[in-house]
Amino acid sequence: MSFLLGPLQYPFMRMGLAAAALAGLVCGLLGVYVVLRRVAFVGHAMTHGSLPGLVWAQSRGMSLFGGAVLANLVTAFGIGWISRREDTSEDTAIGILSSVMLAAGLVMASHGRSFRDLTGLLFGQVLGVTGNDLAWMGGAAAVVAAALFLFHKEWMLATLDPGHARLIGLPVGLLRTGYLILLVLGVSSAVRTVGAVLTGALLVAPAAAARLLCRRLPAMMAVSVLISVAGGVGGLYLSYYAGWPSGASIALLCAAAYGLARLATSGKAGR
Amino acid sequence: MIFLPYDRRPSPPWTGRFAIEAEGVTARYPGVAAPALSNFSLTVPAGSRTALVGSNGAGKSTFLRAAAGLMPVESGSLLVLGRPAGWCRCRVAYLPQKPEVEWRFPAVVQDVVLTGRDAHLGWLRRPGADDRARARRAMERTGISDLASRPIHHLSGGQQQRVLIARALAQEADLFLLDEPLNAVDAETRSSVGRLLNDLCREGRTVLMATHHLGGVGEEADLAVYLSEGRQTPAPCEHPEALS
Repeated sequence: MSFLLGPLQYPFMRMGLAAAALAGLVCGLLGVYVVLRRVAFVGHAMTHGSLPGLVWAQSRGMSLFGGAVLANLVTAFGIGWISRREDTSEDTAIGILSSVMLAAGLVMASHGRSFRDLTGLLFGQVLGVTGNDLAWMGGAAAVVAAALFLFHKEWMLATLDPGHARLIGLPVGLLRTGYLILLVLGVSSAVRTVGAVLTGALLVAPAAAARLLCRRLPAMMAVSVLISVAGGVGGLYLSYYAGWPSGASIALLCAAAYGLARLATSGKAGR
Repeated sequence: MIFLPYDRRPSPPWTGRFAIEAEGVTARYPGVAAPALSNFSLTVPAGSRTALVGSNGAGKSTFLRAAAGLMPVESGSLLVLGRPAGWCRCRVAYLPQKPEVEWRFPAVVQDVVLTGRDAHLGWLRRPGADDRARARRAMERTGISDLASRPIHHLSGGQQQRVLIARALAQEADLFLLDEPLNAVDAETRSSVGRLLNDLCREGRTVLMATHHLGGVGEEADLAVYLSEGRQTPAPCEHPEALS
């Protein structure tokens, strides 16, 4: 028991664990549609795209969450704008923009005082989580969970059969935009804990593992959240005891969960 | 709970003589110079089973898409259940030739059939016991009750087709637009779907079905309309070798 309770005597660990759990909740929920809609590359672009916003916000002592949201909105709209032309596909736009945003963040960091904190922004800095950060993360988690619960039926149909969804009058395009906005909120709330580079693992690996284990959407969402919250909290404990970077520990645990799910279902090919 | 429909246009109960009234309909795909359907006219009586017959590219699917409200009509008039196409969304069921269904989605058969009720539920409302009972009845009629708990990625092509027809039944539509529903299915499915379509027409529902397969259409359909290169042609078709 002291193994579990020991780290809790430190306020930074209590804050960090709460942040990891909230990041796990949001990414576990959103990751389900990232996997089912096959938009893992969009999630990847948003995690990388948040760096300029993080650097900008940190250099001005502002909320990192707010900075990440702004940068991710630029990324999301930028992807839409670049891929407007028929000769430029969405994945090309994502490839260009994620590199540009990451590079812009590095350039901004090199010109400001925040270069020394770049490692934390890229790979997670759970020690620096503040009460203000937690409040933003809690708000983002509440918005994401409420939206996915209220419009569960609509998002499910738009993903399962967009043709039938359009036929009955569902605004499939609007639902996609709404989902991207939720993704902006979710990714922005997680980059503080897991880092701009590694948040993608928290977003994709737990949902991919849950997809292997579950036959129905509600179960997949529950298992995805369970794995991502466990990965987030477990990753921090691993970081505390092994001295590993927190973001890397979380990403490795989530990837390990996917590996175990693959092993557990190896006899059920096509599942 | 308040009903918030996906489509706010009114769709009152329909009791007209003709399910579809098309007059000089021309429709064109974006970026394509030649119209996919040109000056096409068709009247489909309520409660009938009509077949649109033609080879690939004849314009059958285009007309069904236009009637479903998924493709704009460039010129002409197209009334579906007495309203402009696209108005009566919950009263029209459309089964495309290549559905956009993600068959690897984590869902079982009854989940998919239950989505047929979504058009009647609108925003925010969840399916209730009555909706589940209607979905169960639809599965019974299509003979897939034993598949209710089977994951959809474990279904054969014929079973997938029956699941989509069950969803259309659960929707309780007045008009069924079916694009090659008997294509690539086994003889048993073909026969059971054929019987089901006959039953639907006896109940007063209308079936408009696209097919490139001439065999059996004369016996099964009340009316066969032939198309070629986007235009109506006299029966039999000018290019029967392309249809057989």
